[in-house]
Amino acid sequence: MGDKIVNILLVEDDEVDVMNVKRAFKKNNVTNPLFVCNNGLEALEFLRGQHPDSPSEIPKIILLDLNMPKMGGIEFLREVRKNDELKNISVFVMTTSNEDRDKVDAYNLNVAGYILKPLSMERFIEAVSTLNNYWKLCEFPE
Amino acid sequence: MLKGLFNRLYRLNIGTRTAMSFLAVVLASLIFSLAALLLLEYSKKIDTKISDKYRPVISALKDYQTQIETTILLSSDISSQYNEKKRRTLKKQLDRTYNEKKLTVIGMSQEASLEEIRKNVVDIDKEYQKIASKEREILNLMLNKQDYENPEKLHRARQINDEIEALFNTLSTKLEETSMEAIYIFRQLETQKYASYRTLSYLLVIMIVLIIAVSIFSIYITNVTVIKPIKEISAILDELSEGKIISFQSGVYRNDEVGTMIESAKKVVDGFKTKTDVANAIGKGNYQINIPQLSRHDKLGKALLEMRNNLVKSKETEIKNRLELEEYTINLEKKNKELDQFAYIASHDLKSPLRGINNLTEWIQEDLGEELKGESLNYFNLLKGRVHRMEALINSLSKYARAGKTPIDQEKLSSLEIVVNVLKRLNPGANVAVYFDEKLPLIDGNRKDVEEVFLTFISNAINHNTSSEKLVNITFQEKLKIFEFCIADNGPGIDREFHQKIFTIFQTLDRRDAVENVGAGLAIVKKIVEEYDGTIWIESEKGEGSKFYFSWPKYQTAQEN
Repeated sequence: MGDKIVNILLVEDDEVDVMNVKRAFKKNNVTNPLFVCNNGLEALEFLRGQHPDSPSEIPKIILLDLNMPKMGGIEFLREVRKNDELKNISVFVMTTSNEDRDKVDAYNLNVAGYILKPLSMERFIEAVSTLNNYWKLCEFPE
Repeated sequence: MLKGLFNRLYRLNIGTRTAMSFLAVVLASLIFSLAALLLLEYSKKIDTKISDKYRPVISALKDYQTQIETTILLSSDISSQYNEKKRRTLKKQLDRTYNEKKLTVIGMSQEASLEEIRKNVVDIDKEYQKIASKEREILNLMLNKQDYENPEKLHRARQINDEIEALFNTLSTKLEETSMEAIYIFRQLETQKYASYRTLSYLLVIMIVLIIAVSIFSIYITNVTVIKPIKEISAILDELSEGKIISFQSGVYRNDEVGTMIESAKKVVDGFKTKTDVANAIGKGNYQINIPQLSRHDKLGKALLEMRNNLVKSKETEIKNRLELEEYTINLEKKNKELDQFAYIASHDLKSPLRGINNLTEWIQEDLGEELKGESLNYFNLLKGRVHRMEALINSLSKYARAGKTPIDQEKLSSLEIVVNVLKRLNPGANVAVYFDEKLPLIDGNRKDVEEVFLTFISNAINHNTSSEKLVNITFQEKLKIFEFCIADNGPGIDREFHQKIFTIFQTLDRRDAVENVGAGLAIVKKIVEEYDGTIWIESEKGEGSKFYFSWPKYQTAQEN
């Protein structure tokens, strides 16, 4: 248990936000390999192994932003849930959108959590820490 | 047959009918008068005949008879010869008057009806002449005294005398008969006269009966053909005057003035009926209906036509206006959606670079660590403060844009419960006393909206209150369809000149860089209240606390059920 460290995919278009996540990971000593895609389309390619950076192991966890160019988070989620190989990936939405519509859409597509990006770094670090504890606790299928 | 006559009479016009009955009466009267005149003339003639002819004849006859009887009395008396001379003189005189009287009678009875009498008189005269000749025979026989002593002559004379006597007897009978005849004729005439009088009286009775019959008949005809229809028309016109329209019953085809009148009245009523039907149809929105025009002077028809055309026009305008309004509404909804979209974009797209700035600032501060100090550290803190205020402003803006836009799934809400919950959430300090009416009512609305309204008012009442003992009082008043809530405080009060301004977004009376207060609360509340068709206002004077009022719809679902 815990031997196997799962890959994490961050789908995020904002460079600072990517840095923010990486920083928070570092602060919390999260060692999971983190892959970054800048939009839904790129992320789909990545998951299907069509990306040059695609790992042999498909990420078990995705941190997903909603507002992105080319393909948004909800659209991406829909594609993921349609795909038999990808449909059981744990997806955490991390977004600035406080829209009810987005929340409902996200939960209808079986997301593991919906997290609003806080303004302050501190609270984001806390959030990532909690997440880390959570997925450390969870067992994922091989 | 009588029916045929009646129908024929119905078809005549009243003038002709009146003239006819008048003519009938006049004609009957004329005939009667003529008949009466003729009859009177006739009886008068009879009368004249009686008085001019018959009476004289009778009296002449009587005279004649008396004459003869006198003559007979003066007949020769064979036994008394002494008076012979005297008798002879008398006889001569009598003979003279006899002739006179005889001629009188004959002269008077020249007429055909008296022929009998005249003949009789002629016969009597013949007898009389015979007697006279016999007498003369006696006279010639007995000329002197000796003759009377001559038995032969005497005998002869007596023989003649007997013959005279026999002739006299015949004469007498004849005279009697003639007299009777005359009286009979006279009586007959009288009877004729009386018969004519009787005829006259019959005629009179018939005349009276006829006139009465004609009068009754014409009254009946008038009643049936004039008065009844007029009454019927009056009744129908009366109904019409009260606005009722009943159709005509009179089915009899009639050619007279009343018939024409009925036709006219029928036209009027039918016209009204048609117009009413048309007006009804128009009223029900049937603008296709044909509006019959009675003539080119038909003002009502024209008015209806104009009314219909105007209605059609206004309907078209209405439809056009509605379409425009619908278009406008659709546009407005589109605009509102765009605004929502804007709010969404504002909250995300503005916030994400802001968070970037915030993160980068924090990382710089983190990386510089102890090296950051003095003014620079202060600037960094100010920078972070401004970023936070910016975030608060953006949040308020998106909240304002979406205020009251929560889908109005209204439910029964207890304003009391909401106030209590809000107070729990605010958790006011010990120096705050909040009073509220424990009968705060049930209202209709969306929970989030109502909570937002009370939260804003109560937190404003506490947060902007500078008194050492802060007082908040929440009351309400029931109106017809709404409740009027009042949140009063003993704060600093607001000057009249700001009463409108405070409900505008981003208007604050405090410093602009105070993070907690971006000046959107009251604007958001105003927007929410107005979304529920309510109003919001303030009563306050500087230094005398403030009273914020807002109206909210009552809970009505239960009452409607």
